[in-house]
Amino acid sequence: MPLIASTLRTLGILIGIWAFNSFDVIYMMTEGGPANTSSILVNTVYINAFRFNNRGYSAAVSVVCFVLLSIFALLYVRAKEDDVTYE
Amino acid sequence: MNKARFKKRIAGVFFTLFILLMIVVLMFPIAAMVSVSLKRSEDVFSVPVTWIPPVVAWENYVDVFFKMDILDGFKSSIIVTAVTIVCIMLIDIPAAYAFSKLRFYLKKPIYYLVLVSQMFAPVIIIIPLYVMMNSMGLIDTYTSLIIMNTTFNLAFIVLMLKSVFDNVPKEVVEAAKIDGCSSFMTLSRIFVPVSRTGIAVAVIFAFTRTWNEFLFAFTYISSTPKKTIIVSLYEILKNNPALGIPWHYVMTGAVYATVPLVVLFVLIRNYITGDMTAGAIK
Repeated sequence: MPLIASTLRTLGILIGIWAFNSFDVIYMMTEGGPANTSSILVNTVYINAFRFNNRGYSAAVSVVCFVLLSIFALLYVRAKEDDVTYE
Repeated sequence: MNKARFKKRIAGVFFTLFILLMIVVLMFPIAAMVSVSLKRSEDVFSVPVTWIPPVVAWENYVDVFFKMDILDGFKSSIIVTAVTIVCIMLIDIPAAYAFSKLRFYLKKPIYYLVLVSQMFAPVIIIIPLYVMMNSMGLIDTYTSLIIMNTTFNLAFIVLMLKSVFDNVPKEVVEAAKIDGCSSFMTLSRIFVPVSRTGIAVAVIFAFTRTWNEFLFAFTYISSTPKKTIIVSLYEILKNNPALGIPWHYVMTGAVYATVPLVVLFVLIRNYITGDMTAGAIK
């Protein structure tokens, strides 16, 4: 386990990020409905921008997403720097 | 048979069972897709659900081309994916080589920036990207899709190729240098042939990601003949309220959409034979 710990950490963070960003599956299946129950932040962004023409609001939501993802990104870089290699 | 051997065998059986279970779980949607694609429209919702339909409707595989527009989708998907893969490889192979074997100023920060750039979903910057594409007049062209797909796959593929190139010992670079190779020649004459396996895998990944890409294809392309296959399937799903959703055609289209991937995999399989650098510096 210690040998693959760094890989596991990296993969865990990446999978979290990809799940956060999984726009297309949700959009294709339910479009975030019924009544936004299956919507995630990135769906809100898209629907507000291109369906309700509410660009300002959706840009604000994407800034929130950006901040959240920055935290993930920081964790990711930290995980990368902690990498231990055994020769 | 002694006890330790017996224990080992039991563990092996459990591993095999576990892997078989995984395979069943992974293959289930694909089996369902093929099954539905062979049903007549009146059989799709029949209860009890049958895996093998009472009447096997092979004609779906012909009809889908005449009744739904799938061919245009195929054409545009193939164009976009092919050009994107060429672009990605042209940029990424040298980049990965540089990250892996060369030393330059600010290498680490740049590498981290590349890594971090793949964390931010295209969705959250879709508005500025749309405005940019619009002002460049690239909306509703293949060019916009190619640019976007290339951009958002670069980081991931660099990551893959870097780890591939990291496995090539640096003594190989030194040997090439002594024999008078420039950096570029080292890359093209030694690294690319030696790491064919890794590059083949990277091509497969780039292909899958571009082929399945939905967001940009859906946002940027508005005229029907230019829609990619994934968007075409989505349109079939959403735009036939009179018929209800023609699930059998959607699934047939989905089977067709997976064909190129399988073909590519079979073509490229010969390259995935093994590591050619094993024993390179002995």
